[in-house]
Amino acid sequence: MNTVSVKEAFFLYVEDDASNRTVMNLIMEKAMGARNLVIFEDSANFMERVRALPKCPDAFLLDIHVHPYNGFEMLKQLRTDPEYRHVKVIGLTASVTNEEVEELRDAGFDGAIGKPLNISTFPDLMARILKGETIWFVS
Amino acid sequence: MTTVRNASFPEDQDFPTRTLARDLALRLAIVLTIIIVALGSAYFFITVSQARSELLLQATNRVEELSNVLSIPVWNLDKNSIEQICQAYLQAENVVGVRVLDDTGDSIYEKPTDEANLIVETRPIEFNGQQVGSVEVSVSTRQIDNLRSNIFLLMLSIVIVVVVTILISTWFLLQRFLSQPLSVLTMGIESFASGDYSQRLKPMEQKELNIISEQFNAMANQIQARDQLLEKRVADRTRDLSIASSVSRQITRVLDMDELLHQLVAQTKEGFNLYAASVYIYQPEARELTLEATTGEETRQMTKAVKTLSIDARPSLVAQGAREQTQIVNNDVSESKDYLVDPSLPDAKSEAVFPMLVGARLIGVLDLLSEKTDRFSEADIQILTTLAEQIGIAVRNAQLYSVQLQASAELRRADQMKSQFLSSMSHELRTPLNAIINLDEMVARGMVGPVTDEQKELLEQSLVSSQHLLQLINDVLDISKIQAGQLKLFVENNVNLHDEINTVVIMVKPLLEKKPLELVQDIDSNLPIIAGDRRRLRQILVNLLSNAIKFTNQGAVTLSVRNQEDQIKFSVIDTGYGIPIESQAVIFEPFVQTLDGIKQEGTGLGLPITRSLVEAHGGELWMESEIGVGTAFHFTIPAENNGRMGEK
Repeated sequence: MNTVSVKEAFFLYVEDDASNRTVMNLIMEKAMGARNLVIFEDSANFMERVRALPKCPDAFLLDIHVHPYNGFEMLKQLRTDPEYRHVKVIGLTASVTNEEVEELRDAGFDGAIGKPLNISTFPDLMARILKGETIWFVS
Repeated sequence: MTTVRNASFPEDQDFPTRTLARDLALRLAIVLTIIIVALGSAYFFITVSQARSELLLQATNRVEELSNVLSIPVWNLDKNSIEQICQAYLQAENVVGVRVLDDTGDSIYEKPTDEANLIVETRPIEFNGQQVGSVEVSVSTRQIDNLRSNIFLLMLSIVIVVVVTILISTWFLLQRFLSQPLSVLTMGIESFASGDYSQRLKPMEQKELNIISEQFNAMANQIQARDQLLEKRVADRTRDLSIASSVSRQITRVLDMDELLHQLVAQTKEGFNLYAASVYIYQPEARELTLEATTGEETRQMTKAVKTLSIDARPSLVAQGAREQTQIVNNDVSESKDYLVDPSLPDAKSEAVFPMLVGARLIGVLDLLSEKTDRFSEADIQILTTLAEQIGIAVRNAQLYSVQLQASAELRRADQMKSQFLSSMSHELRTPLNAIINLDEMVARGMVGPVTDEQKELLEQSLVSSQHLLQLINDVLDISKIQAGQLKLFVENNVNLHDEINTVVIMVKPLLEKKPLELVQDIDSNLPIIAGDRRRLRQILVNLLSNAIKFTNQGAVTLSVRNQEDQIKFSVIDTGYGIPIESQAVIFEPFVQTLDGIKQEGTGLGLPITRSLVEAHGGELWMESEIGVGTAFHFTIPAENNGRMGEK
């Protein structure tokens, strides 16, 4: 798979907290210059809405404490669908203890980034993720 | 007598080769031969002397007849007649020689004989009362010689026939009446001796042998009975011991008391073939024995009825055993006034009570009932006493274990609640801080529109406070983990230190912006890929660098990283105030505010956490400082994970 630049990449973000959605929108637009961001405000009919997207996202950024499906359940739905089995799925979590990060790793996430996000490091982390790196950056 | 001697000294290696048959036949033969020879000799002498007498009579008769017949011819000197007569007589039996002499002694007729053994008779020949000559007759004794040799041959053949007959018949008879029955006896005895204690001898035809057989059978019965008794005793003891040891073995494994006691009474009852087995546990405060486990359905009903028993209860062997702390064995309870009749166990005939003691502490009582009188022998009591001790120890262990279990469960629960509280607090605070910090920063940076210098200043102050709050949250979370010994690393095997150092530099650069301060990087280009926790390694560096920047107003902060083969040495060197020696000792302790009189923002947790993180990676952290010159913090990280990483 060719590496997509941060600016060209298509991101899907699932987040139920409005202020966090604002932050992500601003970081993507102002700090990264990324234009292709879709945000789901909840995880209802998650797979149907994913399939309805114009194209498959280059990276899925999933908040963990989302309803009705949490981050782990969304990941499982993606991994059981052959079309989405290999997409990059990153957990965006405010739960940053090692036990919690271990759970994400064991569940099969491709990485995790802890909240609060850091404007200085976030664009670089996204670039590395798009290159195929596995990133565990929770602090 | 050698046979007898050998028989009485069976260890003698010269086993007798003589047999009864041979000895008997030989002796019989000798005795009979002597008798036959004696009788034969008597017969021989009688016969020979008879024959001699007969021959003598013949010779006398012949010579007297001749003297008469020859009277006239000799008178007449009629030689012809003389010769004829003589020849006629020579024909007679046994007569071998005749000689006729005249009155002058000249021979008129002579028929000599060359035989040696002769009977010779002489008679005068008379005529008219006048002796005219004499006649001499020789009779042969050859007949006697023949007779002698005949008798000898006869005797010899009789001896031979008798001896042979005796040999054959004794051998046969002994074989039939002695050897065969003896070998039957021998085989029976041998088979018994080689361990077949059920072997018995058949009745014998002969009285003497039958006595042997009966005596042997009687002896065999005794031996077999004794052997069976011994075997049974050994088997009983072995079984009891193995039950006791299997019960002991099991009880040391089980720590759940309820399960333990129920298994135990069931096994004891089953194993020792008892009527009932129960365990009472002593409650020291109440001075009561509570029935904790008992066997059988009937006894279960009793459990409800008599659940507790005062240690002072009378009559009760259980209470008595507990009071006196000694075993009470009553092998016939019908006679006893101390026995407490249990209506649910009407068939009890013997009761044995064993106190379960650990040292001098009474743990409880093992109570056993049997439907037989005299059930509990000395040996049983020994085994059961030991068993009761073992059960006591196991119960004590289980009691201690359950107390411990409760205590540690409570501790765990408290600890869990604390961890849970901290991590949910952390989570709940981070979500709003994400918005506060990032929106603040973007506005302050002018990313969403122009801001005045004053606005920017205020926003940056707000940002510093927010970040301080975040740092506080992180540090409290970390220090609580460290203090609980629960700090765990999230270890990855492919940590590229150059990447992590770059990230750290990006993170701390904003702190430098308002100070005339340079961040110098002096980093070896050949740093290895190591195993470690990226986030914690970054945290160590961020802590040390931000501390250095915080406490240095001008000059430089230098990050130096050296590849030292087996470890990587990191140094953060500043040109700040330096740390007084008395403060150096305490800055690694939590919640100690640094630097006399100089108030700086910080949680006071950074350095203790940093040191713990370094040590969790298997490295070391230390410092050097000189007032007015600056401070250097150094730490090492092993280049290879030696397996101890993550241990606290």
